Amino acid sequence: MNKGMFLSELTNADLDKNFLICQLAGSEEIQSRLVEMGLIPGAELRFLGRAPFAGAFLFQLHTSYLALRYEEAKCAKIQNT
Amino acid sequence: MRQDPEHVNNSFVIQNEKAFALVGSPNSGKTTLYNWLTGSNYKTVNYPGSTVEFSVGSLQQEAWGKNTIQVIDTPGVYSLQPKSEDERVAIRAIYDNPLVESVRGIIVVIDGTQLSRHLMIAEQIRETGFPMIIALTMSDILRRKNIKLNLSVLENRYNCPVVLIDGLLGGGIKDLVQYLDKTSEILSVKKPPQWTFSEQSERMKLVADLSQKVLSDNEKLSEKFQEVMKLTKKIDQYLLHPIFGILSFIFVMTVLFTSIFWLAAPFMDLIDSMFSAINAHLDKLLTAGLFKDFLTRGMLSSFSAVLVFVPQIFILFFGVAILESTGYLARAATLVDKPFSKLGMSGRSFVPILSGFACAVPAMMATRNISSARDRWITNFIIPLMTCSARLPVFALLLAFVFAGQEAWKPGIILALIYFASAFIGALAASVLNRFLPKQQNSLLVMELPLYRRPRLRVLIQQATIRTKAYVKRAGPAIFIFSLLIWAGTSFPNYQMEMNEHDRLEQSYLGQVGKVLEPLVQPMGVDWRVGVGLLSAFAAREVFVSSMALIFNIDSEEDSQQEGLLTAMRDAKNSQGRLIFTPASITALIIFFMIALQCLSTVAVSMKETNSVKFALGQLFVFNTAAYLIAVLAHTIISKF
Repeated sequence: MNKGMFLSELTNADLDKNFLICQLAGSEEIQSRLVEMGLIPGAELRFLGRAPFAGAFLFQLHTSYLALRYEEAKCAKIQNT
Repeated sequence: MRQDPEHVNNSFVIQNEKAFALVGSPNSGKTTLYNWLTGSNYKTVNYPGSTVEFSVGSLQQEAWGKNTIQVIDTPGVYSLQPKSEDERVAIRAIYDNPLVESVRGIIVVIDGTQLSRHLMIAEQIRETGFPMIIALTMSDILRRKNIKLNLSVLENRYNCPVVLIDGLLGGGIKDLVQYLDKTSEILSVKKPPQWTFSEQSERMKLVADLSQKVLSDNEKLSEKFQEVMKLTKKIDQYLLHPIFGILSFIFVMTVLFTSIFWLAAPFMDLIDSMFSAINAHLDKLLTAGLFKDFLTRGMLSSFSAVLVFVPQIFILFFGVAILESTGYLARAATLVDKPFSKLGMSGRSFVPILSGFACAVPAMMATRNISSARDRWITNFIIPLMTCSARLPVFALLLAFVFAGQEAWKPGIILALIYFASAFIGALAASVLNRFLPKQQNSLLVMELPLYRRPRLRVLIQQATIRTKAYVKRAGPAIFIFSLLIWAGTSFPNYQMEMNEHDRLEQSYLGQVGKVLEPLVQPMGVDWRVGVGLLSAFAAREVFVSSMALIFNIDSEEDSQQEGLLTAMRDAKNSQGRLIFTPASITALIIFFMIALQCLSTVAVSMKETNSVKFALGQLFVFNTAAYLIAVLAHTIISKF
C-alpha cells in the first residue's frame, strides 16, 4: 500500500487491517464532522469492509463503529500502522 | 428575546425552580436517563421553524421525593459548535429556553464505553462556566467486563461530581438527584468555545489521553473492550454482510411493516366496535333530527376517522423505537444509504418512507431525524406517493369489481404490483427533484453505529405513547374539521325534505359541486356520483367506499354490503346510458388513488413539518394534476381496446 492513500481507496484486500490517519482534507463541514467523530491525525482505525451496493465504508475506531460515505472517506489520508 | 415554542401551555413554565440541561452525544443513554428522572412527566416541543425537538420535564415526585427540579433533554450532538440544526437547538435550549427561568447546571451524559469521543462535549461545557455533573452511562456493561474507571481523573479535570449510571436498573440516579439539589448558584456563563480544526484536534488528543488515564487501572484493557464489542461484532458480521445483511433487512422491515396491519387490526376493530356501540346508543337515546345526525354522522364519524388510526400509529412508533434503541436503525440506514443517495436522499430517509406505507402523517414527522434540509425536503415530498393503508379499502373494492368470481391470487398480484409501482413512482419523483433542485449543502452520513443493547420496555412504550399523542393532537383537528365539512356538504340544503337519499345527495351542496365538476371527471370514464366520492375522499380516502355505498343506494337484500355495492356498480350507467364502471375507468380510478394527494391531514402535517404552505400546496397541485392526467391517459388508451 502506498504512503498517502485515502480511506476511500481501501478494498477487500485491506479487510481487518489497521491504519493511521495522517491528514484530513476536503470541505470545512466534512473535516469538522470527521474530527468530532474522533477521526483526527494520529487516530488508528480498523477497516471492516463496505456496506452492500458498494456503499458506506465501515470502520472500528477504539470502541466505536463508524460508517462513512465515499465522499467522506476521500477526506482522510492514511498510512499503514 | 424569547420566542415561544408551539403547542406549549405557558402554565407549564415553573418559575424560580432549578433547571438542568442534559447534554450528550447521540446513543449516549441521554433519553434513558431523562426517562428515569422525569418518568412521563414532560412535554416535547419545537422552536418555531425547527423540526428538532427538545423536552422539558420535572423530576418524578414519587421516585425522587421532589418535583421542583426541571430537566431539559436536548438533541443528541457531538459538539456544541452550531453548524447543524440539532446543535443550534441544543444551544438555545441551554441559553435561551422559553420554558424555564434559567438553566442552573448541565448534566453531561457520557457513554462510558466511548470516553475518548464523548468527553469533547465535557471540554466545551467546562469553558462555559456552567456547574457540571458528569453522568457516565453504560456502567453496567463496564462492570460486567470488570473494567474499572478512575473517576478522580475526571473529577479533577472538570471540577465536578462524576456519577456512574446503570440505565437498565436505575443505579446512580439517586446520587445524581442529590447532586442536582446541591448545585450552587451561577455567577456568570458564556457560550461554548468555537474552536478551529487544529484546536479541535488538540482537544481530541487531550481527551484521548484523559480517557487513557481514566482506564489506566486496568490490565489487558484492549481485550476487555474487545469483549464489550464482541456481541456487536458477531451480529454485524451478518447484519452488514452484502447478502445476509440485505436479507435480514428485508425480513426486519417485512415484520415491522406487516405488524402494523395484523397487530393493529384487533385494536382497530375494537375502536370501530366502540364507536358503533356509541352510535347505536345515541340512536336509541336521541330523537331523529339535525342534532342527532350531527352527533352521529358528523362528530362521531369524524372522531372515529381520527382514532381508528391510533393503533397503527402506536405500533409503528413502537417498532421504530425498538429498532432505534437496539442500534439496528443505524445499520438499516447504512445499508440503504447508497441507493437512496442516488435519488437525492440518504439512508436516514428510509424509515420515514417505509412508514409512509402505513400512514403519511407519522412518516412526515419521522423525517426530523434527517439532518440535511435538502434530503428532508425530497423525502417529505415523496412520502404521500407511498401506498398508505387508507387506500387499501379503495383498491380492495375496485379489484373485487374487476376480478369478481375469479381466484383470489389474481387481485393479490395486482395489489402487490400497485405497491411496487407506488415505490417506483416515488423513486422517479425523487430522482427528478434531485436533478433539478440546487445542491445547497453536502449531505453527510458520517454515522456512528452504536453497540447493540437491550432497550427498556417502559421507555419504548413511553416514547411511542408521547409520539402517538402528538400525532392525534396535530392531525386530529384537520381530519375532524374536514369530515364535518363533508357531512354538512352531503346533508344540506335539503336536510329536512322528504326525498330519497340519492336525490338528497344529488341536490346537496357537495352533489351540486359534483355536478359542476362532472365535465372534469368524465374523461376518467366516470360521472358526478363518483366525482362526489372522489371529493369526499379528501376527508379520508376510505370515505370513498362508504360514499359509493350511499351514492349507489345499495340494495339491502344482498348477502353482504360489498356484494350489494358491486351489483350496483355493475349496473350503474351514466346519463348517456353507458356503463360507468369498466376496466378502463377502474384502471383510471386506481391510478388516480395511487398518485393523488387526497388526504388533507397529510397536507396539514406537511405544512407544519416543512414550515411552508407553498411546499404543501405544491405537493397537492403536482400530485393531483399528475394523477388526473395519467388517469385520463390510461382511460383513453384502454377504452380503445
